[in-house]
Amino acid sequence: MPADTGLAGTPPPDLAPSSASASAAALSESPRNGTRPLPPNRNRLGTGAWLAVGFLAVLCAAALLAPVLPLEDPTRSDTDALAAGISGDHWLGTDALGRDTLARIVHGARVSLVVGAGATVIGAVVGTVLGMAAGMGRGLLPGVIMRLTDVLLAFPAMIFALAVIGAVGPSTTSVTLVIGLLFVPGFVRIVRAPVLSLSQREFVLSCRAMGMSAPRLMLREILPNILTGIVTYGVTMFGVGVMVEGGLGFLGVSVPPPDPTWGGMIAEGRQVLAEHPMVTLTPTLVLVLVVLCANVVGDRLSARLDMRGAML
Amino acid sequence: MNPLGTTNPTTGKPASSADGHGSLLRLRGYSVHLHSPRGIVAAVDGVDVDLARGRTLAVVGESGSGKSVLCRSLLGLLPAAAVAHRGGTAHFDGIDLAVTGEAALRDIRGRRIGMVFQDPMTALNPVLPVWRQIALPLRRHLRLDRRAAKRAAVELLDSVGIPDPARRADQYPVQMSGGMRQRVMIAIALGCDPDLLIADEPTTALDVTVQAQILGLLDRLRAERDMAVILISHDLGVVADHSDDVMVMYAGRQAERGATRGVLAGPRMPYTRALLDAAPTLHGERGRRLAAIGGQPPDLTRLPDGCAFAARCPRVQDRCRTQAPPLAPVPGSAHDGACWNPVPVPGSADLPEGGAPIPQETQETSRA
Amino acid sequence: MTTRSLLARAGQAVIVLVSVAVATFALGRILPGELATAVLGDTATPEQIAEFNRKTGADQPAVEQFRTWFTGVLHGDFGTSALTGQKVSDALADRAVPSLLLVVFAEVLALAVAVPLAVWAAYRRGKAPDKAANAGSFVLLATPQFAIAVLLIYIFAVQLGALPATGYTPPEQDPAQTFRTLLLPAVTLALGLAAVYYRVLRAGVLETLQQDYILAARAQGLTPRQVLFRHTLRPSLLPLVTLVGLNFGFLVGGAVIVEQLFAIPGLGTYALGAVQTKDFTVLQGTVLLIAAVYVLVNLAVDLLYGVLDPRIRHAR
Repeated sequence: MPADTGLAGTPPPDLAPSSASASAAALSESPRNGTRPLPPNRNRLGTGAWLAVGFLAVLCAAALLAPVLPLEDPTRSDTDALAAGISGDHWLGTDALGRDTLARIVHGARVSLVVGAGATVIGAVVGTVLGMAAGMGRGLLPGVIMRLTDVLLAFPAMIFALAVIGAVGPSTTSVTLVIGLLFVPGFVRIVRAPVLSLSQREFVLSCRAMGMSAPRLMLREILPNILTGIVTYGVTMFGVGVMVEGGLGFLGVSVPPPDPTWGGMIAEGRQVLAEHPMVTLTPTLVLVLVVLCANVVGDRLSARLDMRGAML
Repeated sequence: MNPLGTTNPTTGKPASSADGHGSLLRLRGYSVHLHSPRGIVAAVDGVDVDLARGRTLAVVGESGSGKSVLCRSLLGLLPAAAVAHRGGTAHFDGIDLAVTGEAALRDIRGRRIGMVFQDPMTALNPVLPVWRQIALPLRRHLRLDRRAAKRAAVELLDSVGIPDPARRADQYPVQMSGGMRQRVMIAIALGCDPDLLIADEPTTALDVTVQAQILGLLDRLRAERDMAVILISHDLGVVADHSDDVMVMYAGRQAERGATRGVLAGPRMPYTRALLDAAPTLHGERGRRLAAIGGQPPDLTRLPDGCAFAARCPRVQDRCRTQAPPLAPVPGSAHDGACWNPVPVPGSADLPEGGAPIPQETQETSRA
Repeated sequence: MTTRSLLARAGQAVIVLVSVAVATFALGRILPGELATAVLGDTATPEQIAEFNRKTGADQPAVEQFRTWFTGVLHGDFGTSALTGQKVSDALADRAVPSLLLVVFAEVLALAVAVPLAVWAAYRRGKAPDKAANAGSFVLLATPQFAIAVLLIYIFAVQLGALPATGYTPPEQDPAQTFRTLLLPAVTLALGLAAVYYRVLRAGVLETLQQDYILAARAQGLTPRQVLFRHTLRPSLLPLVTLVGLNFGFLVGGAVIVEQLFAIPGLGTYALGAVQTKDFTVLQGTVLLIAAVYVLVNLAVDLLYGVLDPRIRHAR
């Protein structure tokens, strides 16, 4: 399902598109059964992943508290310091218009993180419902759902996003909704495959035989079994969402200026790239770090999941 | 009941009694200790082997007894990170395998020692036509060009009894039956005319009728090519009919060793006895219950001080729990056993009725 | 793949394509503003607008418009751009070339880097080069294309001045210059692709190396090179075939940001321009073509997989 990636370009680590079995776990090394000794910390998340979680938590807190933090106004120009470097006044320097980079990154995070998280939640909720319906439903329903996801995948994602956002106007809500919609097919596939196999397992069959209703069965018996997989995939998709929002902002169709977005900051910095590369590089670095952290956490989670799967 | 075991079998000298001269493969006190998630495992512990050309040594034991580790370590096929310690000596045709580097070992593997694996379903590459799998070692070791290698591959397929070899050569393993795949494996192993063939449970994954064909094929090829063969098996019926000498392994150690007929006719180590009792025989008394071996194989990371089999042994004595018995000639038999309290020789009063050694007739019929 | 499942897959592809056509058509209608004002300008009189709409068929009911357009498409006529007067099918043919060149170039670069690196890293698993390549691929995966593009432009075009930052020269004019103009955008795409291919292939090789037939191959005394490239690579490459095909189908016309950034007149920029100018006919035609490429490549990859994997080809 590369469609979700096209917006931002770089495909996320877990895209093994055509097969439904391709999960976030597909790329993480599966544990070996050989005689080789296992690394001791295989069962824990690991230092790197905790660092990543810490970084994301700090950024979230900063974004949340941005109005009360002693930050400069992200839209105010300091005409004495245009495209300035790091200083006591401007910890991360300023952009070409003299606006404080740190303030703009923190305020931009409000957009990026909300869009990333919001789109992931939308994709996960809609995708899980549809995926379970496609996995357990009867009659025409599964076919219809799968064709719909095919259509969405076949659509050039970027054009789709640009057209829809162009139609309804750029805002945090519209950007989140569009990216969330583009995430749906991925979640449908992630959910459907295990639901298909689970629905043939004895405990599910016996629940059915005892007359448990389908929605109840899904909620009580199926969902708990696939939830970890959804969460793991979602963590990675959060990073993709941040990346996609960056791409839209870069093209100028995310939240409109003067409100800062990371993609917009990178795009604006290009004008002074030759003389003041830091104006572009700083927001780029933050964006990459956020996605990287999400990928690290997702990767470690799926490795753990794999481990447990192998022990069953 | 044929008291075969009471007489000294005439099928050559037992593997243990040779001084090692003239033997192709010679192991002394050979040990392999492996890392495992739960600690270091003595997978092979103090094994002695003498094997001459043209003879077959059967290595017998339950799964986990160290049979496969023994063979793989000889060829240097164990992951380097997995091996904690190698002890003793291993000489192949005068070459000290312990000090042979990986590059030199590669010239021995496939060229001078061939190997056949247990499951022909998984041991053949599913995406390569079989002739290419046969041809690769030929091109590497014998420096054949592509066309000569393909011709040789077809000839090899013919020699292992595959009908229409030219057509079969272009097929993939998935298009062949299990028996045919195992014939392909044998063709690969024999490609460079090795001096020693290691067959690791070559028939376990096959149907009984196909088993007999494959083992017959191995016997024929060994005779034709004057190869030495190590036949790893847990099937005593197979061992009885297709080996000259046998080594019974338990928990990485040798439990009993000698000429196959002697050992199977008159097992002295209670573990061998139990293995025989657990194996169905064609001529065994109807209605006889196959005796399962009670208890679990020992935890190899925490082997007891004494005999590894003590916990499961019906003849256990106090001494067995504190002191490991050495492999030594057992009084009354022509072969060696590692036991403080050996099973009495067959024919004695306390041999359980029906727990008979495999009768002569069985061997004759299945060989035919 | 049996004929039956093949027919089913083809049928699904047709359904998907027709649905895409309908959805594209609808998408064009929800864009705000009128094509007429976009073409004629704000000063156009109502009479002029009515005349324009009559000429372009925009006064017809939507269903009628769709039928006219789709019938044309089935006959290879994608209509005419109301804005430029150019036949859409001609423009698509022109613009497919740079898009295709770009993606083929990127795929070749990505595979040339990723395949040997992945095999080597998997073989030397846990060693320093493996760790470095893993980390590198991880960072690349987290770096958006536009950021890679900006950095590449900064280094190679701005600082070194070695390559043109933007633009495109058609191969019939000057093939060498085509290569130079496509190099940076292709590398941009390739870096992202290579990171994915590397990770998939490395995981595949590691899994293959655990197989019995690899142990058997080593037992035959084959050299590491033979074991890796004769026995390991082929079975490990099979999942990659799917991925390469899908990315190919997806990036033809899907690499909008890269085409836009490097000013490459491909399908992506064509569609992007159509969105901005509300040129429905162009948008519909381009999106349908891009979707058709994606769906057909998908189908082809499924077929190819069956041909490449003897286990599927000879499945009984």
